[in-house]
Amino acid sequence: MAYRKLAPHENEATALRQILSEGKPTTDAKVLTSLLNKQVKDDFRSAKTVMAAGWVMSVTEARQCALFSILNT
Amino acid sequence: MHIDAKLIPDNSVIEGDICIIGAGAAGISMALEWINTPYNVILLEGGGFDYEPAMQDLYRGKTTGQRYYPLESARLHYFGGTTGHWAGFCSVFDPIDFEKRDWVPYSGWPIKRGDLDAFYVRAQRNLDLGPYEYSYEYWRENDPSLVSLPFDSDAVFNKMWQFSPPTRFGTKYKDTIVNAPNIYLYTYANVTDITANEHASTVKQVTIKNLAGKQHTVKAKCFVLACCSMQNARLLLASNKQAPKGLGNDHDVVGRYFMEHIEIKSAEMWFPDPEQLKLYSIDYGKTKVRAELAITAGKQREHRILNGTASFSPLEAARNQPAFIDIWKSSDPKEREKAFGKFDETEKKSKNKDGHNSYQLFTRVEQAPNPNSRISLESETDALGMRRATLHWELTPLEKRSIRTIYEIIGRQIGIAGKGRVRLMEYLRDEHDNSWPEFTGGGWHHMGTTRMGTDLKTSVVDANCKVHGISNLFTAGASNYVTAAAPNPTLTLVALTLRLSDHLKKSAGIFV
Repeated sequence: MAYRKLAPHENEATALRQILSEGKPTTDAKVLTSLLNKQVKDDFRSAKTVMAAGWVMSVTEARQCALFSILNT
Repeated sequence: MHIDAKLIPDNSVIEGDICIIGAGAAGISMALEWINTPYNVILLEGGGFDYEPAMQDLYRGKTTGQRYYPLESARLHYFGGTTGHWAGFCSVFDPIDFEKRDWVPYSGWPIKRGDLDAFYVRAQRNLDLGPYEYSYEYWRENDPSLVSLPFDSDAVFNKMWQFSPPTRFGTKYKDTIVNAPNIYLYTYANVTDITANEHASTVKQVTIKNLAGKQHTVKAKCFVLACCSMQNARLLLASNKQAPKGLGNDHDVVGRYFMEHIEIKSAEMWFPDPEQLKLYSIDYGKTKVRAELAITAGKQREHRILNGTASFSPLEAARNQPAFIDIWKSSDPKEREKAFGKFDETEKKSKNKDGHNSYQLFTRVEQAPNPNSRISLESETDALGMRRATLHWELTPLEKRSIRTIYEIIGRQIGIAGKGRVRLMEYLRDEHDNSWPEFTGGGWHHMGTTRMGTDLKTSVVDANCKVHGISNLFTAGASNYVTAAAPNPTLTLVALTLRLSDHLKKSAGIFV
């Protein structure tokens, strides 16, 4: 919920999916995992981090949490 | 030689070459340096050789501002001083700590870290520490099991600490001092007044009193105040016969810029698999060195933050530990031992040979110099008729922003390493919230109050620890600190004292 409040313009499942897959949606779990892992590392390296519920997390991680939260509410 | 000032005739006049006021880490370190010299050294200790509640009560005083410990609990008033209850944590100041930092008001020492290196080497011996080595690489070479977390060394580094046994100066150095032919240790000799000449440019004598009702006079060529930050300031302020605002206080600086380390639990670090973190662990009484995480000078400059470190404790145990501010209330060193024992026991119980998935990160951060954070005198007097000290402890938003930023940096670094994640405690999450939680505490580290400098309007002593405008009065100890750095103060205050001692020896003939 924390990231959804921080970034209300991203508070929508389709938009988050689009951003997380860098505009190239895939259902291949391996490809997606590899892509996300790389994004997470790149985020930390370029200080693209947010604080959500106290966690220092990459924006990509926060977006995944937000997507998970939307899909489960 | 030891003389009990309660047992000599009232109104005795004691004379020597150099008079050291206070027999704690600073005063004893200085006296040791003068053994077997041609000079007669008078070492004045307010208490005796053991803890006594009546002596301790002379340190009682009110506190205002940020919640603080009872003043009489934080310093010990007997031979050996506060080394009677210190924990032995030692590390060196970083070069940046001595620099003028434009984001830290009133920062910048008149000396550099390099000016202290030779004295740190000697101070290590006084405190029974190991070699003067504080690089992680040195200790790793000696013990390959000290494995570092994989941080970018341009951002976070392993600040190494060494642990004194801890050396109790009152026990270790008593015989040496008492048997020294030219050191005259007077116990129950509380200095209540420093008398200067008419223009307050030279100290002539000091008055000592004790609870037996005796009063004596001490005359010397040179006087060194080594009573701790609180009492050094108190004594200068109370000595107002020749200088109405107190000695060395023409510009209302004495007592100001009181600093503590803010010691506070701040965050958690979580790992997917258990981590032992031996390099960052401590087993009290056994561990010789450990590391704390520190932020590089470059990152401090980039983020305009204060210097501070983070230490690790297994989260399961640390979560339930009471805050220091709630338990460090007694001045009795035995009670302090008990409190430490409980901490140690809880940590030991929580130890797991496979390590832990989660650790609490505990901060020790310097307090920015702040003229409003100060020691002053209250109207109430102690049993010797001396006005009591009062402390107004005041923090600024910079301290809180610095703590938050330290953990953001560490959090990013552990993320880059793909090793784990950091979670900040609730009180740090809102960057607009400058308040402090109830469990905020200090480390019983008193610094500042007679700070060094060249500007008479913001300092009390010069680079040689001589009080501005007074030819033969010096201060020793952490009261001289301009900034507090991250490490506990004892090692550096002993190094500074040895430096002062050498200065006085070189100046023999002028001062002594």
